[in-house]
Amino acid sequence: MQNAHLRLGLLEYHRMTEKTSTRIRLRVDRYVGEDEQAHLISVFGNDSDVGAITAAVHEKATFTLTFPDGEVKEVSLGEHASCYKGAVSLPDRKHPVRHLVAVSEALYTNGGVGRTILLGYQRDLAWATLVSFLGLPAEPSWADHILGVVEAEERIMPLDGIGCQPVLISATTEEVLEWIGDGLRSLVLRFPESNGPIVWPKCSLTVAMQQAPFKEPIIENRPDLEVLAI
Amino acid sequence: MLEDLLPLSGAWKQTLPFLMPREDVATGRPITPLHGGHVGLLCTAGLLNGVFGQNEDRHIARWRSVKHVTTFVEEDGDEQIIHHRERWTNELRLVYADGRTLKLTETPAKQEGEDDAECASEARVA
Repeated sequence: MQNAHLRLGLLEYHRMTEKTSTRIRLRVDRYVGEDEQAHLISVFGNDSDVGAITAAVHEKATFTLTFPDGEVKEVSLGEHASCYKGAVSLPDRKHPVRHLVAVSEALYTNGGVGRTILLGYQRDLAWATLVSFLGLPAEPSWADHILGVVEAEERIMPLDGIGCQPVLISATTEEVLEWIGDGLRSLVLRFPESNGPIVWPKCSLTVAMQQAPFKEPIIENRPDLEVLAI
Repeated sequence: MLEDLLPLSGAWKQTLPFLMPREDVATGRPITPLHGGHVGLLCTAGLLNGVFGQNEDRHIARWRSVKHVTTFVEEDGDEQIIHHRERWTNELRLVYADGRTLKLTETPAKQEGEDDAECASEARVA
């Protein structure tokens, strides 16, 4: 077990007016970002600090984010960010810890314009999320083939993360449908044998956050991908 | 640890619709037989997605709601008024066993360069 400063990030907001200077620091347990664009910030602290950060998010403020490895970045959630608040009660504390999850507009419309952000990359969950967000007619067993194509086309990009290993998948509904059609035509994908609803595996948020980091795939000699290339 | 408790907070529950896949298949036996209107409503709500048809017509169907935003500019003297008109439509995507794919919408296909912006489904926005 590592100490808190090695597990968590630090979000700092500094605001100076003519007469006052305000500096607020909160611990970050989860973060998803793409360079200077933050997509998700999860912070916790006391009531007033969380309230101040909420107001700053709505004012499109820029924050200083320190990663657990010491890297420092200036990040912002941009326009039309959303804030969601919660509280966590601890057994030995009088007041609950306040929790804030701030989300960028890009993550709010996750899956739109062919960009899907995932908290972690594990094929089964990534496929279920893509199918749900892009509105695809698909089957769970097609995950390996289609995501193999996605990986071969280098459409998966790792994002900055704290407490999770997020990735960005760039693929539109039309593109994935084309890959599905090609897979069915080349008999690499098997169509379900019986009619009825398609049951997808269930997955919790905790599991999604605990997945292994995405690694660049090693392109092997795959005959199914050669068929697609033809 | 506190980090282990945070995923159980209400804040994370509210962000689940745009982070995790939705389970939108309804199973069970209705208390009265469904008539055509009921089936139509369930279909367009995406609750009857799945595998249908026989022989060469076997296909997987998936419905979803799509928000289209049309932007147009109105000239009012020296001023320009920008209007955003939002409209929800239902969209059905099909993939057949032989690899054919189909997209069915209530609106005709747009000309090149005339695309509307697509947004999240109504359920996810709510």
